[in-house]
Amino acid sequence: MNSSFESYPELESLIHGFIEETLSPSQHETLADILSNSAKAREALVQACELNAMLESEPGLQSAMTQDLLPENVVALGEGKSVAPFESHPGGNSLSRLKWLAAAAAIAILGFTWWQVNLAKEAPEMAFTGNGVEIPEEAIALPEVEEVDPETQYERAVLASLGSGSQQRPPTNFSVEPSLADEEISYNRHIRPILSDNCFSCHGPDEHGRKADLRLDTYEGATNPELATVVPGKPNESELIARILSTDEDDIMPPPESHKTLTSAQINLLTRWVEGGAEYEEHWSFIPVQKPESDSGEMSVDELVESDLERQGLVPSPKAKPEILVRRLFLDLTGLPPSPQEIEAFVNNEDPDAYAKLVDDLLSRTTFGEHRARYWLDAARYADTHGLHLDNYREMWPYRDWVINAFNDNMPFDQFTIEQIAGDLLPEATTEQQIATGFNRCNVTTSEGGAIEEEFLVRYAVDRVATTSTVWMGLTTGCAQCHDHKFDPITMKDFYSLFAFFNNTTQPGMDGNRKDSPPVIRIYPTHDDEERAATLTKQIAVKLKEANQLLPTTDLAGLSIAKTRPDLAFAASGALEKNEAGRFQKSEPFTISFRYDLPQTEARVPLLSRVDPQNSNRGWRIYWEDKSIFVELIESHPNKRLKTGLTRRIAAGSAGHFAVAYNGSSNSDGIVLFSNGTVISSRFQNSWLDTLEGDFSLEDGTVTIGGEIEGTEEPVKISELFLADRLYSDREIALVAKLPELLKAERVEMAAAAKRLAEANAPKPEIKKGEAPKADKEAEKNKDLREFLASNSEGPYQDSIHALANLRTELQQIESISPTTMVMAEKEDTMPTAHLLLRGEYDQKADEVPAAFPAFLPVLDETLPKNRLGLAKWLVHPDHPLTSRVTANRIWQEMFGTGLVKTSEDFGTQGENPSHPELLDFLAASFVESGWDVKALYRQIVLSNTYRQSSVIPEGMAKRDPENRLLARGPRFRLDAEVIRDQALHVSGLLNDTFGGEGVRPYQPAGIWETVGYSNSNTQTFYQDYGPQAESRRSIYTFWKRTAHSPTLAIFDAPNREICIMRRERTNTPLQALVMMNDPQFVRAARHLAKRVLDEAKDRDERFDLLATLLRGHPFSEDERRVVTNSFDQFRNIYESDEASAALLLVDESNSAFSIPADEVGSVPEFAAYTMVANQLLNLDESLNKN
Amino acid sequence: MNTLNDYLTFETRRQFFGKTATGIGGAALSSLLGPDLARAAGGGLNQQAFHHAPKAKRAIYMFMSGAPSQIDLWDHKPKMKEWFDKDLPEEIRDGQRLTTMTSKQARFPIAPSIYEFQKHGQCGTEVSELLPHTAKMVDDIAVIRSMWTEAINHDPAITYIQTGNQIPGHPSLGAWLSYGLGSENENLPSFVVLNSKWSAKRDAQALYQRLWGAGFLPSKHQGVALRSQGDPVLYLSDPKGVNRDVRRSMLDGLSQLNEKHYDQVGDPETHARIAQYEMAFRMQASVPDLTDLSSEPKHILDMYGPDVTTPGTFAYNCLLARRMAERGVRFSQIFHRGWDQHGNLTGDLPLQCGDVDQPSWALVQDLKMRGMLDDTLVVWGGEFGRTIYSQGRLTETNYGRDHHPRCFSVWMAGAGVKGGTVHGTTDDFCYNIVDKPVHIRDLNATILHLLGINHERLTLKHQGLDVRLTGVEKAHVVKDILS
Repeated sequence: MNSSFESYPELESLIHGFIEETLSPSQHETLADILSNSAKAREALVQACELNAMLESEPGLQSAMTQDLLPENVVALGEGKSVAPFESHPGGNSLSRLKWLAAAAAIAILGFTWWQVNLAKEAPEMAFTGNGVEIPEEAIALPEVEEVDPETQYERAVLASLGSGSQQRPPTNFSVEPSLADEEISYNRHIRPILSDNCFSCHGPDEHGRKADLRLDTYEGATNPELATVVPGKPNESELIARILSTDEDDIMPPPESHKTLTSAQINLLTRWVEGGAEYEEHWSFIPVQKPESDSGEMSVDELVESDLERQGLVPSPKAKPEILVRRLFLDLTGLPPSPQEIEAFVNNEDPDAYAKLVDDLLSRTTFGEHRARYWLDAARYADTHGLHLDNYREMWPYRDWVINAFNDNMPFDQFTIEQIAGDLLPEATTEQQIATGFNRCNVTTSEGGAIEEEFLVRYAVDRVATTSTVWMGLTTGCAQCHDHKFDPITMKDFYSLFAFFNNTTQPGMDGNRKDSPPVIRIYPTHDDEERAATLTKQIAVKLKEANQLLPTTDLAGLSIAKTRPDLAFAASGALEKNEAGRFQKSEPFTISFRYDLPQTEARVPLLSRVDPQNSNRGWRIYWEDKSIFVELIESHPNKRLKTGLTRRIAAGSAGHFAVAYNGSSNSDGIVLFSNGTVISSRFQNSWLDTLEGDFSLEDGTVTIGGEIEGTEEPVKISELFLADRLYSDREIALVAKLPELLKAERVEMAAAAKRLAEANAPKPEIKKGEAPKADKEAEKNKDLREFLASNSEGPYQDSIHALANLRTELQQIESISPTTMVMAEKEDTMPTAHLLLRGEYDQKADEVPAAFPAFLPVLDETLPKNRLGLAKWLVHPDHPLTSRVTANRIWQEMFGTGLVKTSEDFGTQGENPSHPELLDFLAASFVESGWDVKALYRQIVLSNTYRQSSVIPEGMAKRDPENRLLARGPRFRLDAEVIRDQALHVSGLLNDTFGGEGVRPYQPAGIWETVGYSNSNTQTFYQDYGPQAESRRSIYTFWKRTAHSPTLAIFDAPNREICIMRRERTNTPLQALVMMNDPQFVRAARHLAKRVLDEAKDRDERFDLLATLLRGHPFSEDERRVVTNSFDQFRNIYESDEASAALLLVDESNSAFSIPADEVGSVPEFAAYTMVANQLLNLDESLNKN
Repeated sequence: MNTLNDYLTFETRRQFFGKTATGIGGAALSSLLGPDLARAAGGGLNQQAFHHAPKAKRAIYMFMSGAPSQIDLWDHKPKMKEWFDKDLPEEIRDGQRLTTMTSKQARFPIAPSIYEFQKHGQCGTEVSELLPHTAKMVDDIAVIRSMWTEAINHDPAITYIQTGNQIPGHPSLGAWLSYGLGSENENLPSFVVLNSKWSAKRDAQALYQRLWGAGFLPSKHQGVALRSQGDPVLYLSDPKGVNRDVRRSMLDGLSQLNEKHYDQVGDPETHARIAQYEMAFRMQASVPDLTDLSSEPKHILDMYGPDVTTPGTFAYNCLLARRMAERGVRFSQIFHRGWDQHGNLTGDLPLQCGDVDQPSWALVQDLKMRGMLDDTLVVWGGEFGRTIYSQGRLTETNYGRDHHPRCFSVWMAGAGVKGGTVHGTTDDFCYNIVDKPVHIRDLNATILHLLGINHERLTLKHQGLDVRLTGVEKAHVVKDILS
């Protein structure tokens, strides 16, 4: 990229001149030009200046370094270039020059080989080319000092994040090891990371991407005699070594365009490895777990940690103070801090088993499971919305509660695994076991208009493979979706064989934006409810069938509609015989509706009338004329009548539906006309009358259908006539306008629903498979039809429909208290198989493969079925090399902040090696031996001395071991988002410990959901829940909307749960400070905390100490008390002169129910000052950390 | 040797590197190049640095969510007039997949744009009458008419263009920039998001926090969404009853207590926390200053149009973006929703254009007047295009258009962009690209390039892979539009 860079070989002398301040203006410009074009050149300049400055200020160092630079002391590096002795460098005779070279050498010695390596590679002709000495073979000996190590990497990252304070350490690919000099070279520990990082992407397991037919990830491939890449024992004959040492751009490996470079120590390691026979080992995590044995019998966590420390010349830290330890233990096991009483009880307990007893107490609390589940739900990507597009509500919380209960019941991890992956496939699967399968329903889904179902089914299965592989095996399989994995031995075939396990689901690709996208189960509160629901379902099926038989026929001829008066509907022509039919009055509403079929004529067509020709046509009539339909209410024709007509053209010879609804107002605008079920604005047809003074009612008369038409014999046909003495709603008129088709559909639907219900009538909870459960939807759709029929008909049909409605209401009542939850269900008629998908594209199908375990891992048990149940059992087979290691590591990570394998989601070759391999295997093996006893594993860890060490960082260790990978001290790190919030609720006495149930929506600032939400989404608008039941619950119960999750939690690194997360970020940002200081939830906590200490402690100092104890486990030192007292005095002074502001602190901004009445606090300014002290202490670094 | 080594390893190294960013070397570089490159060199020990001299110091990205119709705005197809209501020829569609919204449509009647296009500026770029203000500045902008993507629905497509992947979980463009370039202003975030109100029908496509999320990058790199109601930054205001003096006292006491704790425990994170609280305190002043428009003269406000003083409007957000650019915010992204015209396009599209046309023009003019257009990159575009054929009923005056990933238009202006250019050509049906296709990853590569980043080298190791914004397939910087 820096093409111009190579054309500036003068850079070196320019930098030198710059330091010497001897540059001419034009040279100055040239230098600036080069610098602006090359990052490497800028680095060079900065380093040179820094070193110069450093040497200027450190004469001792300077002389020490120049001493080391005597020709015999020159350390050469493996790039075909060496640091030149100063005497021989052209023009190198000034003092600065000397210092600069000395510094360069120092850099090289320290392993900052960028100078050599990168400059040499980018511009070989310019980087210290003074006298390129050939390196003798022996010069490749391991340098006496270490290579660019984790600390250095960390330092560099710290540098890059100056001012932003990330706690996220940069990835390192080494466990902390001070020196390799005296250590055996191990392929897994030393060599594979180098090869994997630098070589495998072209010379690894992926045969399609493989270059030059060379494979370096196997012994056979590397030592292939034809290529002589590696000749064991003979580095000089090995092409591998020649290539990495080469300076020829065409030969050097890794190639320049890969932007990868080997350090000298890496080169040395490789050389030594080849020399020693180039032994390969299988990747550490794929070989069986080996439980370390101890001379003294049973091994222990401490023995393994301490022997390692000893090797490093370190000693463990002393035990943490009891008040610190007890808070650490409470936070780790329950996610809540101890109460002052609990602290006191522990600190003063002299029973030597007090600690162990406390551990058992905490492990038995419900809060244990609530805390544990939180970690698991990150991995399971649990949330309360679908995540994609509309991001609608999804009812899944029974799964969340299942997880909590499983931890509290200490469900063995193998069972925990089997039920979640394949609970539905267990014989006689219980409701609980089916709920557990929600694990694989937690992935994000869509129902976006236009989306292609098949494409998304593929995505869901890919997500399930990725999640399952990550959570149980620490394998990143995603790459193998498109090609064989570049680094790990997982092939595309392995991937789709795993994919096949999840490819036999009955789930539709579109979630329908429903909360209960099938397959789902419903969970009844009691067995009686469940039975009653089953009975009701049965009865509804019977009733449906019955009602169906009674349903009116489509021609409606026989339908007798009677309510308060015998209104009629029929298809006929002539006169209606019932005298009272159509006897409407001007002050009462009525509705007339019918279907017509007009003859071909220009003349007026009488449609329907009830008039008295003898009495100026008094009555009402409806007729077609002049391409419209008119309605007249006539007191006396022609002058006293209301006349309206359709504004739409109705052609002669056409057919359709007409209705008129009159509201009894005597006004023409009280008459509304409908054509084919929709309102067509009527028009006023009488220029001198729009109000009827008299009445049009006619006591005696008959309704006449049709009538004589001038010039034609053809009659008008009228059918489906309704004469009703009430005002039909628009909706009802729309219904009657298409009654025949609705009835027809209803008949079909009722039959189908009855059949479905009869079939689904198992005693088991209803599983809705595959197809969207249309019955409900249709029931909803036709509900108003049924209601209409029920209220407009009489006799057995009406009775039947009423009975049906009652049954349905009862069922709905039960269902309203019985949540659904999404589960897995397997297609019964097919085996789990999948097609390889080229480039991972859903429509690029290649070979079909059956479900199978990855070929590079052992089969373990031939008898396992090739379905999800088999997969689950395979994962928890005692000999599975990954599951126990990955799980033990994850649990270790919860306690210590960092796993023994830091990349807890990646145990593959690109992941980090374990810092304590034996300890990891020891924990994993003990875990399996215990019968996968989860609580026992926690107990084992927290009972260790390693865990109980003080977290005070020993002198020098913050630099040497910033992440505490050596475990020479106890764990200390910032609490997770939920714990921070829960702690505030707990210490302020607000926490509501209700267990489980639907997600709650505590306060959040307005507009968080609305800003992003799709307008049609049912989570577009945030409605806060009020009251302690919702606002003061533990954060695990907070409603999790994926596209906009709780801002308070998000700012403290809670993930959005779109994908599986095995370890959270742990950042340190100003936004977090704003949350802690100003979020109304934390202000509320401060207020109630102040009230609590005001009530519970008698004087100021006691109150301060209580605050401190609540928040960090121990009272203030004298020193600290002075600071707090000083703050308190300042607050009080301010508030005494501004009582109005002080009073505002009593008021809760988000819910006044949490305000504190002024008369309960004594002095308001003093209370405000306490509130601010509480606010201050909630923000204390020590409160925000586990110490 | 060992003594020296120990000395360097345990004592000096930290100071040595600690000084690099701010110390004498940095100062030296500053004197030669100005502070930005100097800072870059400081971070140059990592990949967190410029890979080459950047043209742009910052970028403003106006994102039209929902996909604006390129046919009615930027890609004039006069021949289509004769094709009114005729079927799209089968060979043009060529079996390409459609969304399930129109794939079952009986026919695909061509709907020519009803809008007039005219040539503008020296360069003669054709622009629709719906964008009269934008049309005035065509000599300053480069229009890419040959953008394309694979995704055909909003959620995957917008996730794709914003994060380089259709599946959630990857870092957004802004997060990558924050990760790569860091911040220029320690009182404001380096990546800020502004969400705007819109005028078309209300049921606009959703946005997702993942669109400005950090994915697997450290979460400090995620975009901070400035809010138009309540506090611009969440929880910025002190609670009622707490004034600045009280807060200052509280923080003074807090940092003393934390210092004492540091003395006992020795965790450097404690110092980092103290610093974060101080920055929070400064933000409480700097953010309100940012959103206080009272110092803006009338002629500037007038330029952005009458909505400019209403928080949450696109005009207001454009002005805010300029103010943030002045204050060193690296990347601001303004989202404007409501461009998904499946039906009633001629009713809604003019409303949408009315929201954005004048303010986006004004933003470019404003930057230009201040000399900031030279080092500010401006981008305008959506997640895909729209079909030439009508979705639903086609009349002489109205039509709808379905999603069309195979071509769409975006424009860029400012630092390093060759104004007055048009890049790429589509066929007469505005259906397929016939010349110079630009994939969305090419667009992202170009944006990174202009900011001094080689998209192949800005990577993060995640799950064993060096992951980058532009993904695994080859991406190309669009050199033709670079000045």
